[in-house]
Amino acid sequence: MLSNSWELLLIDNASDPPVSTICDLSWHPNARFVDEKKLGLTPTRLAGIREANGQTIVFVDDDNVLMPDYLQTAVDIREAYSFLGAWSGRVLPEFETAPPAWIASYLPYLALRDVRKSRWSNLDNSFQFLPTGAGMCVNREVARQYLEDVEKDAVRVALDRRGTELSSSGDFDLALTACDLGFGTGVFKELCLTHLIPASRISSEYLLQIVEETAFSNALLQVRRSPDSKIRVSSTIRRLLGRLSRWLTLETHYRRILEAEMRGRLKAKNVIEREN
Amino acid sequence: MPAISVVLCTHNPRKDILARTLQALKQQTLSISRWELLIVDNASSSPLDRELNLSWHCNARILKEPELGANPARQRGLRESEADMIVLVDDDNLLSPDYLSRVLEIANRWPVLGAWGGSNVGEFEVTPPTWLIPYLSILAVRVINRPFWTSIEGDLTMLPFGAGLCVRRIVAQRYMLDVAKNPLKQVLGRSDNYEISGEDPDIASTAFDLNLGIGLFPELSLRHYLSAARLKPESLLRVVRGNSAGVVILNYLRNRLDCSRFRRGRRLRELFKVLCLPSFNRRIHLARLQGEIAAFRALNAFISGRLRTADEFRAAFIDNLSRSFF
Repeated sequence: MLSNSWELLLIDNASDPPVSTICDLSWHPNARFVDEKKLGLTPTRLAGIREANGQTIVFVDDDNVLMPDYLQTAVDIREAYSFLGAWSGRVLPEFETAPPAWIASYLPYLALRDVRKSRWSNLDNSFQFLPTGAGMCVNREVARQYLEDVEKDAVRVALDRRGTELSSSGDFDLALTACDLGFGTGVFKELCLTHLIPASRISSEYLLQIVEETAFSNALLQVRRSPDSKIRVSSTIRRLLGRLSRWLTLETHYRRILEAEMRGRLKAKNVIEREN
Repeated sequence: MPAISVVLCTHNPRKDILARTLQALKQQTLSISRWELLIVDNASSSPLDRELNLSWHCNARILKEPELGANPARQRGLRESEADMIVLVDDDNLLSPDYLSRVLEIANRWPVLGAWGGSNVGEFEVTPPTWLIPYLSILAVRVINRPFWTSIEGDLTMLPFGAGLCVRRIVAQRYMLDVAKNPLKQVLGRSDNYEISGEDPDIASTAFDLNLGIGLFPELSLRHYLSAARLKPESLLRVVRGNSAGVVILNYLRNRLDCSRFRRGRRLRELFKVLCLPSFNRRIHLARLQGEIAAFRALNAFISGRLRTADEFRAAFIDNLSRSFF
């Protein structure tokens, strides 16, 4: 796509030194730096939405390498599926060093996704096919609504990665705003990007932290979207018994993932009980 | 060429209700020149062509299908239809006056959808008993409050019902080819002595095979007349058995049958749960289990090659219904 038909906003989230000192955007006729002092993914996204002028906003993380036809395809999809408010595509990993075999259990939590068949819908209950944050395309109307909603609601800002916190329910939250406005969401096999994964991220402590944060913020999101739903956490004795049986029967990594998920849900439950 | 083919299959219809169904078609706001009417007389004991007066419609035909059953009757209607949009109407479906014109609007606005439907409001001959209210969707009664559309397959409850179902010609053609090739697909569809249904979700799901989606739209609305006889418990249990058997076969056809549900231990547990329910719910769920298990057994025999044709499958299913759960 010609660079005069899209603009580039690089949001600097309190980096030291400022990104503008180490990064040259002069190759692009319509690019600028935006400073956001408030740390976190959600404030950064909101800053981007406030400043953006395009009809479609594409969110790209600093470790996402878009395929050369990504922006063109994003626009083509908007034209062919004008009823969609948020859409994304395949996110394939590129590991800095060859990952160990056990990584397979964690891959779904690394925001990676292969799409074999394009799918779209306006149902808000199929999380499996919601677009994820890496490379997510959002139409302007949905983005503005999300901005308005989040500015009113502090819990929503908490949903997302803050500093070192790693959860990604903010992605779902943004995508589901499309459904609230009568638009749909979709995932498309034609859209593709590569997610660079540095060697430092391949530690099971880091990955378990992601799992826990994700479970935590998904549970918060679920309660916020349908206030009647309850976070299911079993009693202390059952948890201990469950732990024992898992320790006896399950493979180590799988067991650790399950336990991290449970910790996340328990944390979310406590947060909600404290609020009420 | 007409824009819509309305296919109405009927077998020994109640005359007064069929007259109302036709009256509702006569009152369509879409100009008569833009749609054709195909009435499939499915082996009625007194032939319909002597009784019906279709002179109000310039493009109406009565087709006689001697082979009894919802499936052969529908195949016949689809085969002889000409338009790019096909709307299936049952002999007890009273369409809103704007139904057909809305179908065309949706067809133009939603090129990515292959099959869709709308709200089916019940019109009851007698007031339905309160225990029936939670089960009305069994009788294809459902009100749609906001539009739904999806290309994600899996949730059977999201599929449009056969009553008032709108399908594009390409979907219907693909469906007919599939049915001709696959005896299991011919099994789906009620007949006089035989109750497996599922031909409606089967045709709607064919949209996914063509990378199209399905939808439900509140602006499409029809009244579904339910006679007193259809609200009797025996008739309902029959429908439940047939629906659940159809779901098992359909899930197998769509590669998502969870066979572990049919293991002896799981079956025992489910039976125990069902026996704890209040009396009518218990009968409904027992009928569901009965239909599922009979279909699963016939399916196993079919997969292993012991049954080959649709007729053999039907006979085995009827036979299985009288066998025990275990």
